[in-house]
Amino acid sequence: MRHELDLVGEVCPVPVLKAAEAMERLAPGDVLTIITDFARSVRNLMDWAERCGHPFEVEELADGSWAVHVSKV
Amino acid sequence: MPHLRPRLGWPYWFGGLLAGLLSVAYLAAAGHPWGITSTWMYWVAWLAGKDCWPYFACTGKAAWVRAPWLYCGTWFNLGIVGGALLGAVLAGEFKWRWPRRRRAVVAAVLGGALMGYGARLAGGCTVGALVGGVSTLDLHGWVFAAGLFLGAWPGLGLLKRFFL
Repeated sequence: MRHELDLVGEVCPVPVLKAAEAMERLAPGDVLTIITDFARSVRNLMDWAERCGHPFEVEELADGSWAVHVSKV
Repeated sequence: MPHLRPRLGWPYWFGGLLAGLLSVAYLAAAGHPWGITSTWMYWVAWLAGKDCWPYFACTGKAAWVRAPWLYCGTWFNLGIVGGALLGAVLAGEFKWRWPRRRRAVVAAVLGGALMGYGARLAGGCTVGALVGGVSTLDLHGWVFAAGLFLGAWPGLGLLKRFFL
C-alpha cells in the first residue's frame, strides 16, 4: 500500500521524526512518500532510511520541493 | 550500501571544514574571531541611541554603535544572507517558504529572543562563542559546546511535545 505524508512548511527535525513515527504503523512492503520543501530534511530522511535499511528514492517535484519514497522492508 | 545522492549541497563534514578554514582567515583579516551577534547588538544600540553606555565606552566600541555600517561584521552578515540566496538559486533549490503552523512562528520569535539574550550573556552565539572560541584555542568555546548539548536535551523534549 502507498501512504503519503505532506510535510511542506515543516523544518528539521520534524519531517524525519514524523516519517519515523508513520513508518511504525506501516506493513512490510508498504511505501511511504514524504513531501518536503526543506533541503536539509531530504538529506536527513535519506540518512534515516539508509540507517534503517529501507530502500528509498528521491524525486524532485519542482525547485526546492521533493518527494522521498521509502519502502518498508 | 551508499546510495546515489542527488544535488542537495555539500556533505556536513565538507561544510564544517570550509567554515573552520574561513573562520581562521577571518581572524587573520579582521583581527578578532568571526561572530554574528555582536553586529546585531551594535545595530540595536544604534537604533536606540545608546553609544554612551559604559559597556561600549569601556570596551572601545562606541564608534561601532555610532556607525554600525562601518563594522565589518555588518557586511559579513549580509554576505551570509546573500551567499545563502545565491547558493539556493544556483543549486535550483530556491522557493518561497511559509511556516506550516502559527505556533512555529511563535516558537521562532520566542526562541530567537532567548538565543539573542543568551548570546550576549555568553559573549557570542554558536559562531562567535563556539567556532570563534574553539578555533582560537580559547577554553570558553568548549564550555559553550557542553552547554549546547545540555540545552539540546530539554529542547528536543519541548519540540516533541509541541511539534509532533
